Amino acid sequence: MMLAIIRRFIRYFKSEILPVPSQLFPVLFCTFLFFLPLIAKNSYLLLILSFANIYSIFAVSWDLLSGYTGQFCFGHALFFGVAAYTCAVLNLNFGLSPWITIPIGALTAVAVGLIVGVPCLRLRGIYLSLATVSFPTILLGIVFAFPEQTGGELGLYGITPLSSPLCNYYLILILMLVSSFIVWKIVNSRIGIIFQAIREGEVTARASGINTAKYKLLAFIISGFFAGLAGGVYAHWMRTVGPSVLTTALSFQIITMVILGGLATIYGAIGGAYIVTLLTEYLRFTIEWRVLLYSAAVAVVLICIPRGILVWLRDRVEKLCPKCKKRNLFTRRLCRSCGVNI
Amino acid sequence: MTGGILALLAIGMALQIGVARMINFAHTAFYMLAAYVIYSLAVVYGLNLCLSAAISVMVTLVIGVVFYWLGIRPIKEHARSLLVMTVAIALMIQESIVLIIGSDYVSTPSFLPGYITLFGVRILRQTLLTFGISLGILLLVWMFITRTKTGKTIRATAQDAEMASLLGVNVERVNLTVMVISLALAAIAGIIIAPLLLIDETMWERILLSLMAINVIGGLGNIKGSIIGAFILGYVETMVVFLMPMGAYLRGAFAMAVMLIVLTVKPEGLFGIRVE
Amino acid sequence: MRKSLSKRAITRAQVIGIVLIIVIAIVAGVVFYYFTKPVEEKTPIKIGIIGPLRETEGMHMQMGAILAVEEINAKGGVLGRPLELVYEDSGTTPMEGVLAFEKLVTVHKVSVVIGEEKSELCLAEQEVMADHKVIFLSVGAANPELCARVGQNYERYKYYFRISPVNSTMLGQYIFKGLPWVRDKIKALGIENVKVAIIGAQTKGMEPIFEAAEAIIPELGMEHVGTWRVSPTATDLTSELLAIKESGAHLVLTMFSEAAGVVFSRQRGELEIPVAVWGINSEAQKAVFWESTLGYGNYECLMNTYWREEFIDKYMEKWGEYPTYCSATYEAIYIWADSVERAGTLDPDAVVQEIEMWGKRGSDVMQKFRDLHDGVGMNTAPGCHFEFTSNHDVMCGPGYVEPVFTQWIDGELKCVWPESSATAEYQIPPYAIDYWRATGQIP
Repeated sequence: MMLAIIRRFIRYFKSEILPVPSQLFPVLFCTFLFFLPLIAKNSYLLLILSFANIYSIFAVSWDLLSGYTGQFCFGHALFFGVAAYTCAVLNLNFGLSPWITIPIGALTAVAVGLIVGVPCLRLRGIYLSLATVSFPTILLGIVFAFPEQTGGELGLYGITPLSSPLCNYYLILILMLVSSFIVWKIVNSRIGIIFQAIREGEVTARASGINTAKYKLLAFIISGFFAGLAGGVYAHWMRTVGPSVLTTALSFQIITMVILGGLATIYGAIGGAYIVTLLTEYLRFTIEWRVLLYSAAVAVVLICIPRGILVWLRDRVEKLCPKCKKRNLFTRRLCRSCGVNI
Repeated sequence: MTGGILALLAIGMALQIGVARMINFAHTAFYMLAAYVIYSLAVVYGLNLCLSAAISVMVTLVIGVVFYWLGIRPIKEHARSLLVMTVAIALMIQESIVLIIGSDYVSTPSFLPGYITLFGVRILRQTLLTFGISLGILLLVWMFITRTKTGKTIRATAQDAEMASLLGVNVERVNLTVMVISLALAAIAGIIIAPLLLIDETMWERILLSLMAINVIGGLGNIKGSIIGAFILGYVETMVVFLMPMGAYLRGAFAMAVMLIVLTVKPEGLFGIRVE
Repeated sequence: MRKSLSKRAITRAQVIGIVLIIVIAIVAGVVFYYFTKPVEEKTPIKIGIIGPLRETEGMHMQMGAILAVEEINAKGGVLGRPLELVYEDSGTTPMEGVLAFEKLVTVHKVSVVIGEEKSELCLAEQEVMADHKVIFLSVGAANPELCARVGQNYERYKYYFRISPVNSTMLGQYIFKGLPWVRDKIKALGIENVKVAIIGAQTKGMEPIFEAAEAIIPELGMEHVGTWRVSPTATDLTSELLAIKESGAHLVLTMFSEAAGVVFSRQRGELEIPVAVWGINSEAQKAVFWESTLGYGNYECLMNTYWREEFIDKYMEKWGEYPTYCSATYEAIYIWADSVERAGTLDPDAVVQEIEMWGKRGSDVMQKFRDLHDGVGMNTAPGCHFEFTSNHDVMCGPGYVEPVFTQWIDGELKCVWPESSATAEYQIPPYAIDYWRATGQIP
């Protein structure tokens, strides 16, 4: 029985994953991430990758809301910050363990998502974006107005960590993979098609009988949940939570990541998060030119590859078969499954 | 006084939103650039102040048009990338300034130093000058938009770009004209406020959110609305700080809250037309 | 490209291609690994400087550190090895700060980290410090809670010491220590009832100081005529200044820690508001303050870190600027270097014990690196010495490190209080004296 499953898996691997770079690369990448701590006992590297993973979850959640459903949210830091502060407050005041605070934090972010989503239902396009940008700033004002509970400008500190640094790395990695997988499943399901239909034309979608309000709220909820997960993990990873989790700069950071990597694609969001995190760390060698080079790089990429780096790479490396719609390596002349000339 | 400056900047943004259909987050960065250029010329190189002002406006225009041509025009259709692009441009301007001039605060001398006493109240001469010039420019812009042929073309393009191009309007040229006007307004705002402010490299971020709020309150893309919105928000913010001294740092949150309320209750603002 | 008519899922060319890509990926990974691999132990001892290096605060950190390292290396280095400085910018967010700290410790393998001006980042970096057990000498962050942590969990956070500035609670108290002195200066002109206005930026740290000020002013026999709270990023304070003038205040107590302080000074001077000045104005510590206010900031009196004349001269000569509280990286390096020499090892636990003893050993003990007695440094007045509290905070009070008040007088920053350290007389603006004379308040 086991042998049959393994044989089927190997056959699937050889036919679907190996020949297609866009499937092979993620597998290699994940394997690499899993085995990295064994080869390199470098906590700095693990730290960078952990941040990249946290940002990935955050970016994927934003992509779901904005890329797939077209609800362009400029204040996504709201969910992140709400969850982070909730986890901090729960942990410091009630001594709850991270395993409890993080889900509660994510659910709080979901609740906030509902509160925020309802007024946003009526708004479209730029109006929606401007409304969303106001939320984190307003919340920041509230944080400063109650410095006793929220730590004010300094923030909250002394939060218990998840576990040892090495375990943290694996936990965050697994969380990132699981979250991305779940979101990927969602966007490839019927719900995902409805999201994209809403993005393409809300009036049309409504005319087809879809309850767009319900699905838009659903998008806010799911997106808020995963962003909240990222925020909660951040709180326990950094062990301090300050006003920096609610800044507009943070919101724009992930927008940049997703757009750089490729909007409306899961791999684009993750890839963008990794590229930006690694790039800003790589640029540490020059203190004065760091931000300038970073923004210049972003500008150049946007001009040359406006659809996103990973999307562009994928289109370079793969060709779509016109008949069976399967993806093939760009060097092939014939489709690997139907034999049609491509 | 701040109302006038905000109005100048808000018109620029409103023009860009209305005509070019783009939100330019780098708009205030050019306003900051103009202030830094006049500082460089007047203080570091010791040029005559009025000459520095004129050169500063021209330099800002040139740099702005270059950024527009190279950075914004190619990706006009990708609205999402455009957003990130404008932020990247603003960051590049900020960082270049830090590299060349440094990250300390700088100040420029006043065009008219000293103060006068009006009805027993002391007012800086520069404050009056800035206020006067900003009102004058606002009036000029208003007359330009409403009376001249180019102004009419701009308004037509703002209303319906496709229709305008069918009627023979070169939409690309109009976009460029609007860009130049906005940049000029931002540059002038920068140089007349420079003597009254402390210039630092993050000043573009601070007023950006207020500007967005102003544009929303007045109606996105609406010139008259943005002028009135600027004065309203400027006044209300001062009132808030005055009445609620405990919450002086809540000013930013307050502007955002006002914007949110306007968006939920009446998204088209005071004067705007609902744009889909 | 070989023509392949085969329908097989994967051709030979593709196999070669895939193997090639995997090989390249492995090579790239190895290269990246070496890029972030910890540097091999070489002879120099590395000191990590962390902070907002692009800003003036960060630059002063670097300037103070370079001065100290040059002097110590000239005397043979520490434990026979030269000192080397490594810099990492911690930016504005805790994430960047933590990454910078981690890089300093893991990749550059520094033996001590000095710096971090922003308290929020300091909090996060303390965690990394505790995980790696690296000594962290804090220069620039003033929040008292940073040291409170040492008391709460000594074993974990004992590697943290604050070198400068004095914590913000103490700073608040010191505004009032010199107030009677200023009051008497104004009374000496002939004013019986001294009226005091308070103006400051609304931040969490300042609120207790506002309240304390309002309580103390009547106790000192002065009249409190109003408190004006403004936004820390305020750009126009003319209305507040005019209101202060209308209130008849003789003295303005300033509480600015950000840019609004410079705006206040400039407009105060431009409008010639007839007041004497006293208080906190952090931005006025910088040399660029004079140019930023175009000279209108004359007579601005603000709390400052004490530096000895010889250090100010040394600093001026090398860097062309006045030292600020961030220049205390100089002191930090000296304290650390001497403690390492005494411990005889770089082991953090041993060095921590030596650092804790700083200033407690008695006045006869000489240091290796300068001809000053133990605990005496460039930021302690003659007769005073530097000591740490049990929480590794800066001991503040008579006989220890004390803030001083400096005043901008005609383009130069001079110390005016306490009189034992003063290098100039406290000035009241002449237009204020003229105004008081014209309105009949003084003969």
